[in-house]
Amino acid sequence: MEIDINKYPTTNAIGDYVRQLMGVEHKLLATVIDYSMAALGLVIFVSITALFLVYAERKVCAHFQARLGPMRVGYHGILQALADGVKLFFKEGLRPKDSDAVVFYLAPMIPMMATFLILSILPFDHHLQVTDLDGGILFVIAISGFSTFGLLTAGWASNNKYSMIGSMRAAAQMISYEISVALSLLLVVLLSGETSLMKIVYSQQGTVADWWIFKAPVAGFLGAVVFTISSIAETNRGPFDMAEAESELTAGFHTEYSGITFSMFFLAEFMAMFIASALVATCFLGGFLAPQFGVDALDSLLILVPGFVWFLIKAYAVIFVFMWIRWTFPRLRVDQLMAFEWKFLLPVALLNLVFGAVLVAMGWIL
Amino acid sequence: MIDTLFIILSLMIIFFATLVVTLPNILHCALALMASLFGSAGLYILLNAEMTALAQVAVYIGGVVIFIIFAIFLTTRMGEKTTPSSLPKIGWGLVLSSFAFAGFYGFYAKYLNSVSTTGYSTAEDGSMSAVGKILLNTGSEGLIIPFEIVSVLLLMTVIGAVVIARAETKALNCDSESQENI
Amino acid sequence: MLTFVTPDMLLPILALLVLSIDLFIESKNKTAILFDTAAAGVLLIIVLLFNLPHDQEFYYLTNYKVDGLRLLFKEIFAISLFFTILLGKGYARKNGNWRGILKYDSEFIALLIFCAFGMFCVVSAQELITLFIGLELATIPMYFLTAYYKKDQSSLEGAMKYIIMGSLTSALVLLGYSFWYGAVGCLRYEAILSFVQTNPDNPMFLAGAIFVFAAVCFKLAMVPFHMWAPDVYQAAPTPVTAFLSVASKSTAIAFVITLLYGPLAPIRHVFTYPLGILACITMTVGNLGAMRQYELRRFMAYSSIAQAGYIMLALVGNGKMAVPSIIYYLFIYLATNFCLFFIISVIGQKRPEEFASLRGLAKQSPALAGILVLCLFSLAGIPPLAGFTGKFMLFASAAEGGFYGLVIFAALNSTVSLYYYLLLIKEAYINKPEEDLESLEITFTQSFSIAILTLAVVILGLIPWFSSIITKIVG
Repeated sequence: MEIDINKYPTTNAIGDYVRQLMGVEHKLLATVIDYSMAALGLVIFVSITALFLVYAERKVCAHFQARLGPMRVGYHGILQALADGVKLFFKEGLRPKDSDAVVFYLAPMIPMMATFLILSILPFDHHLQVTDLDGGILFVIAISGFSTFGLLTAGWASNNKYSMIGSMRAAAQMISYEISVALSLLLVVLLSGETSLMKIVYSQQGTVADWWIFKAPVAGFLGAVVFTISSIAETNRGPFDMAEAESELTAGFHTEYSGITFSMFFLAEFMAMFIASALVATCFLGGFLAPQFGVDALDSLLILVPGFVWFLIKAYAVIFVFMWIRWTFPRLRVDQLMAFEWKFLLPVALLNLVFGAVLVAMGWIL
Repeated sequence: MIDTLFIILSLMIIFFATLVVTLPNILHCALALMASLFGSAGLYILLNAEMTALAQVAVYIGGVVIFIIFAIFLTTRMGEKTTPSSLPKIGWGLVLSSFAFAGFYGFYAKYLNSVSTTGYSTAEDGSMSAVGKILLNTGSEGLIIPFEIVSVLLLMTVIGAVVIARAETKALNCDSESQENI
Repeated sequence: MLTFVTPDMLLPILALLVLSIDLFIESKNKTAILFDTAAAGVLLIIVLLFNLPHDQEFYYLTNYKVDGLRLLFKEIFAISLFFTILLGKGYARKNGNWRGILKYDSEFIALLIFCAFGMFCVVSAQELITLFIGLELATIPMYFLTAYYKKDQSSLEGAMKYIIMGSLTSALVLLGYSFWYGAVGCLRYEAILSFVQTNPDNPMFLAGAIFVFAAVCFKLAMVPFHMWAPDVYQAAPTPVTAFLSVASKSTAIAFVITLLYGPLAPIRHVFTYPLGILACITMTVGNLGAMRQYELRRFMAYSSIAQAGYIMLALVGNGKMAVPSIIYYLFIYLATNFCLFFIISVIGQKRPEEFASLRGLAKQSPALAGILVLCLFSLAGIPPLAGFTGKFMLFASAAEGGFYGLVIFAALNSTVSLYYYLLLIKEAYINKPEEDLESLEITFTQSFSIAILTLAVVILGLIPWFSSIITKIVG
């Protein structure tokens, strides 16, 4: 049995060049180079996005609280995030004496791994995707379960009661809300009949009304809302940031982390937010497809803008909603949080799935 | 190529599986278990069973191992070591496992040709849509009956687990003697 | 043609009905309502089962078979479910048992019903996945039910042992299946049957069979996998113990029979000697173990281990009589065991369920003591009670295959078992109680059930057409 390399096509120029240069039998080498390039690209993308998100969070937060936020470093504080990043890198990495060294250093890497794994299947544009997994949605669900590990083990390894409580809360919360995330993703699978993210995007071709948020009456919108709420909870952001809860737990599971290990958690958290909003954009808002309104003059203009720009615009619009929610609502209590998921969000997601099934069965998709 | 990958993955599974049963810290055991399960997910990918591999990651790593870790958190303290096995026990284990290994190796070496070559083998057979079609098929190849029974099984398990795990509040008690129990 | 699977479909619906009654109805005697509804529903299912034509074969969705043999097994499961619910009713009321009130009634009933549904699936399955899931569905509720006295440490300990043993069993079954799948390339009975016909000595397949049968031995509590049974039987609430000893055991036997007389029929002779040896060891160990018990449920565990040995003996004969004699015996075993457990439940209301608690029973309640004697004699196989006829048929089936040595050994064992059954009777009739006894209360449900079961114990052995009907259906 041979692995079918053609199943996972190489799509970048350097890979193609190597293939031409060294002949067909070096497909493997070309593939390795391909994916190394892809990984490098993702690293750069993650760094830039994280910097931008940190700056955006601080600015949005400030303006919601009627402040200006960072203003000193660069024009309107635009270099503030960079400065913070540099500062973090030069900070001393501390480790509590009685902590579990292996797990302590392993823990921050796990959320980062999960981040890169999911980024590797996100379709940024028609050809801008590392690989298009056949079961992309299942992959997303699987990996988001995996990222829970990082928080759980971080709390344990720190050997600190606040960290422990924080990580238990985080894990319980992530496991619970993962169910509604999965159910609302399943709704999209049900509506589009596809499990690969690229195919889901293509299933929304046409005008704006063909995006799943509008195409399936009520169900799509409800699905998007449930997905947004539960992914806010899954990424441990306010108002669901029980795991960190500065005022109760002094930052929860990453209390004991500092310097580079802390920044990895920090980065992973912001990237998790980006991924969540990117998934909303992909599954409900047409992904990288340009919005079309059925007006020829406007449409031909909009379609000139590259797909990844549309993708980022949509993703950042959702991120703005995330931040809006975070800085508007007060934090929930733990029991309220659990009750909200199990007694409200989960039934809604389930009923919505059933409703979506009815829509598909009756052919009531617009 | 495929053989190399298979050997790497198998060694990874065996290495981490050994760690699971030998490490002194039980949380490390759970993490090693996770790594070992990742290895088997890799084996499924080699077998073109993408769906099974993803389900393996979602169910075992994202579910089972997380709950194992939860159980560890709730029952042990950090730094608590498991009781190490005594030397005679390890010796016995080695003897028994080498017997088992020899038995299985001998069996497979001799009877490998008795393995059927029919069944599901191509990439299409392991894809999500193919699996879905088999699960919901009412024909002779279909598995709709077990698929439906599984839902009853899950419901029953949830009910049972809730009954066993539920704290006994005062409102539920009919007799006074059981009130001290929570 | 849906009528053939109506009883199966009604079971989960009944469970949900019971749960929703508990959820929506507020009443003072909710417990009684729940148990009565469940009992009435199960009675309806039993009636439906008996009314189905036993001489036809029906396939539901091609992979779910209903025929005479399967209906008979389902009747056994449904009847034991019925009596378990009636038995449980006594435990859910105040002063029902010295261990405390059985709480969470609707869940208790629902778990039992789901369990019975799993058993139905086991017998009707036509491919290995349904078989496995049915087996799990028949086992997992028992873990919960064993731990139902949450305050009781020993109950939890028994449940823990059971769950570990049960998981091992499941792992073994799956390992066996994977070997079978490796050999055959398909999980359907038909494919396995045709494969076994063409290559009866495929080593891969036989290796898988070893694992599957090891797992069955766990389920049946056959030696050397019997260790869990006494602990679990003692830990569980008595209704659960009764259900375990009758229905779970019948499930394991149904599992063996549907495989041996289904897909594995061409290689059935391979299992003759292993089964024979295991059956002999099992009955001996069960009998020897039972002699040294003083706790009634532990005693019943060893007794049922021995009974499993007798039942497996019939399979050794490998003849025409094997299946009918086993089913006939299971019906009798059901009646006798449940009758005994009802008596135990009456005794256990205020005293621990031990041998010593039986003292003075003959004076206090001669009728109950008399029924106890009847049941124990039936279990020991004394003519003219039903147990004798049943055991006679089991041994005859072994003799049919020419295994006279085994039959003589089993008969000797049966004689040995008389000793410890007589021990109980001695406690009831001869030994004097040390202190004054509180009076026994018997509820209507209990007396009604005991009456019916006693009638069955006496009559089933006397009416000749009962066994001939079974032979006609199955043979």
